[in-house]
Amino acid sequence: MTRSKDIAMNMIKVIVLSLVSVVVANQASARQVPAGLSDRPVSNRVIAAVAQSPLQLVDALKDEGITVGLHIHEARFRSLRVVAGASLPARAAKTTTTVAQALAAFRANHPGWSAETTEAGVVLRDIGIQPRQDVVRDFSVTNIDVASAFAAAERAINPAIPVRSGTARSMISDPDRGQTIPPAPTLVSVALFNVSFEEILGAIAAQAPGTAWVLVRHESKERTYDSLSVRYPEGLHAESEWPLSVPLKR
Amino acid sequence: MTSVAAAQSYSYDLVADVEGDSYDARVMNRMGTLTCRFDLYGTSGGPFLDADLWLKDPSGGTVASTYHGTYSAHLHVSLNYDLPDGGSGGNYTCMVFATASGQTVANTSAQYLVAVPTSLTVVSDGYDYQSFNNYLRRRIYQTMTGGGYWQYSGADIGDNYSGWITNGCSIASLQTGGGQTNSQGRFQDAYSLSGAAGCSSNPSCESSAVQTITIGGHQVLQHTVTWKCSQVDMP
Repeated sequence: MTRSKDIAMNMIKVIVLSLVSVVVANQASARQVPAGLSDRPVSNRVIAAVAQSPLQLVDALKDEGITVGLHIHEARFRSLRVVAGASLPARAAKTTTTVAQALAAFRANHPGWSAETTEAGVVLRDIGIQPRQDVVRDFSVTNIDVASAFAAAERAINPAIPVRSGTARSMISDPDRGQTIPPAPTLVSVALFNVSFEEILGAIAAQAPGTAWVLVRHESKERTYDSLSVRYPEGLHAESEWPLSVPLKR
Repeated sequence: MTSVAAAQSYSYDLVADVEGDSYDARVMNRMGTLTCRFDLYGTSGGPFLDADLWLKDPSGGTVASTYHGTYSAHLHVSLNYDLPDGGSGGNYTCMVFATASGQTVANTSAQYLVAVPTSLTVVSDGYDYQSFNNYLRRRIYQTMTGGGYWQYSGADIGDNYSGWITNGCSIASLQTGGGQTNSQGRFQDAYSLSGAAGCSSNPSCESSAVQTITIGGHQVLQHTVTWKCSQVDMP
């Protein structure tokens, strides 16, 4: 009886371990550079944005469903934000230029910037910014809207931030369009262990095509921190006021 | 401004206008370039023609100037001035002083009125749907200048919010974005709320932020918007 109990327990363990390994495999895959990202063709809008600003390139890439993030100094972010979205071709047409080629052209046009494909998708970074060094041991959200998922990611870095969810919007459009239905919330589920903050942001954005993350670096004599800004579909964006302390380099 | 006979054998045109825009840019923003042109028509092989051309802003300061001279029968002088982002409105004056062999043939001016957006009025306002923790209020704004309508399309609308003054409803995200005016100088702003965390525990919670709207770089509205669980309030 005892022996049959043990056999049953072992069988359960095997099943559980098998399930865990599948989950871990899924998690591991989220930490690799997405397959084929570098070779993916981009549109003429991306090519036009390459010559303009990092923020316009982020918007153009995200609009094509490419996971992308930006790490930028606050002053530059404020100045770029004013003109982002202007001057790009209205219609997107596919080209033979790849993501890798577009990023190489961007680096040539913007010597102060790095641009590479990472486990968090495409990441553009002001070269003067030291990347964050933090490691999040456990991050998990299940079936929540994308804005709430980003809020949960902030809490993973700064637990003092209160739990938040839901979205308020102020959407400007042409009145001739009539009623403007806000875009339906995209639900995301993410479970990751021992990852960087940027990987979490990339994993969330990857599940909500048309969304990109922006980390804004604030630096003063007293304090250095990042804040999270998110660019959503339909030209919407949101900025969090919560500071995310930057860990010292180890 | 058009042609005036200056002397018996000369005529001229002086024009101040905004050119090079996809829309009628009677708004100062980065797309607006004010052009001042002067053409003097004389006789073939005639005397030396020359002209000073300069542009004054509404405060009377000279913002651009040029000079040109020729022995040909037609003298063309022009200058461009990029209207500054968010600059003040009023009359820009293009002035010319032209001579033929030292004799004055033109001493006149032309004006271009830059009418900038100054405020907004509400054309219509109401809820498209309204339930607890899920609603959309749509308000249509008309851009005004001085006491009248400002009716130009394609001007950039900036919709900026302060951080939360209060966020009692624990809303995760305040999403906003700009747009452009339509041909009547109108636009709509759709204020909505969905899924606020705080509404389940405190149905009388409030989250407020200050909204600032700019058109072509000009601030036309600033007020506090308060999202509540069943409605959004603003002045």
